[in-house]
Amino acid sequence: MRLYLTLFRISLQDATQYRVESAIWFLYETVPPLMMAAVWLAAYQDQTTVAGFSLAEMLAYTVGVMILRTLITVHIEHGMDLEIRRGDISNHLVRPFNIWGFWFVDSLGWKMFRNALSVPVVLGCLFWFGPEMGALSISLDRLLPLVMSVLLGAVVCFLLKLCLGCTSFWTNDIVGVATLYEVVATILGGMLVPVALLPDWLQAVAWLLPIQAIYSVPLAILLGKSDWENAWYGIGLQVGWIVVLWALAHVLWRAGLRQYEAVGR
Amino acid sequence: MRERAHPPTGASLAPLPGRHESDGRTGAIRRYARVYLACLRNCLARELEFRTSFALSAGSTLLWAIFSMVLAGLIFTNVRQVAGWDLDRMFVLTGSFLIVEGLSAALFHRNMQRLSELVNRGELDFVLTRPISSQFLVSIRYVDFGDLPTAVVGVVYLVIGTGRLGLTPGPAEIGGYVLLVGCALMSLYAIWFMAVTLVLWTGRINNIAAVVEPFMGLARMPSDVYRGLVRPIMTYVLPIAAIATLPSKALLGVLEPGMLPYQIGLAAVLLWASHRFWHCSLRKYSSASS
Repeated sequence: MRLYLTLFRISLQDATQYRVESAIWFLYETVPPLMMAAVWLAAYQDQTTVAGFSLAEMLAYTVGVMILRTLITVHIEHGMDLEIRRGDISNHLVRPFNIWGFWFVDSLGWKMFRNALSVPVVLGCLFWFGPEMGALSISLDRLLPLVMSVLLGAVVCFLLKLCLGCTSFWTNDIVGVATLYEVVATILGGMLVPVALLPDWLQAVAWLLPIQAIYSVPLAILLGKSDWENAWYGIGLQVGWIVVLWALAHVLWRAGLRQYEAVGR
Repeated sequence: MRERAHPPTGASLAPLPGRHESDGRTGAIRRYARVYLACLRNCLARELEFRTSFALSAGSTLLWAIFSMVLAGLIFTNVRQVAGWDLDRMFVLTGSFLIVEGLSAALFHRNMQRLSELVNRGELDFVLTRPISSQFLVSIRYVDFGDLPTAVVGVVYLVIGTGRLGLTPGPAEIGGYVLLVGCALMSLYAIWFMAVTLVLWTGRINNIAAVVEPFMGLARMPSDVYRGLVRPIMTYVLPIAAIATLPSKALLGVLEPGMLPYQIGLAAVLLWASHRFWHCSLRKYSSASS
């Protein structure tokens, strides 16, 4: 445990040292939701609901998604890709720690720094959109499942990105897979706009994807939406995906390491 | 091989002795055009050599191009109109966004990324010693042909959008459109170049070239949706409205009068500022490591 705490501290120091870089990547998580907030504010001047969302709910979803993007989204797949391509992963493999655990605390360290940046942005949002969001109330009994679902969402995101990163063992270039993921997550995964905007048949397909367990489930619990009012059902879904992705990551990892040639070593 | 026959060095590109003074300017333009063509040929040869990488990059930019319209479609099938824009007009706007995005990615993105690396590694010396404008050389060296499919998809959306609206834009509208897209590209380049030039003052920032992209993404939606001070800043100071909203308005025939000359002026001022800033920043260059 002390080993991982030290690794975490090193990552946090790295993130602080490269703070401008970190701040630039931070823009990629925060600017698109802010744009959507402006679009929704203008769109609701003409109508009172969009896909069953009131303006207050839509703004809460948008700010919520922005918080989740900075809070729990990790980008380990790019680092994994680089390490696999350059053969650097060999260095980590021979060290006396669990490499998944190392990546986990490493991403946590970088996240901590970005979270500090997001505090003023979130406060600004609450200040600007506060009047429109005022009508919204979150009952306290949803708080516990909400916190749990955010934590579980973080684990789902980590495992999913771990699986994505493993594809680099075969492709040696994550660009194609990463682009596909971003597009699918943004359109079908609720990473920018609610899944409820999709046509019904596509919603049914979208709910089969593990991405829902990252953003849609916590936000559905926050807003107390439709079938998902039963928050524990959503949490069950997240746990299910954690089990499935954990197993999948193990399979991909083992097969990948057999494939791995330590290029450049 | 032909590259080697015409190396972009002072020896072959300096104006020939004995030429008339009046030949100076056309001679210089011809010289710069030749350098540009040589770079273009070199990049094309490179793309043809690494075909898989080219196909992959073209494929993923195509995916983004489709994404842009699907996102707009997702919003505008649920919403009747936003600040005067509906689904049909969003085809025009998204098409315009993709044209500027594709062209700017193809023409500038790799160059801006390389520029920050040149500064970090102290390799700018190799550029500064060449007998040609250093800003020109660092800005045009690379062209990414893999980003051009985005612009092609943009043109397709544009045609679909004008078709759905039943519009047949006249030469004035098309001329205004092309000019505004040109202005957007120039202003965007100037801002991007100035942002990357900042590393000469701050020292190493690995992803400085990536700073422009999220702001550019704001042009994906009509700039009329923004409230307060944000809208005038995006229209009159930064070229965000100029990327998609203003050209689309020109094509739809609803552009505010006076906007076209203003955007031409803005592009000229930003270009001039980028040039001044480059020269003033070069004094800070310490040629690290060499």
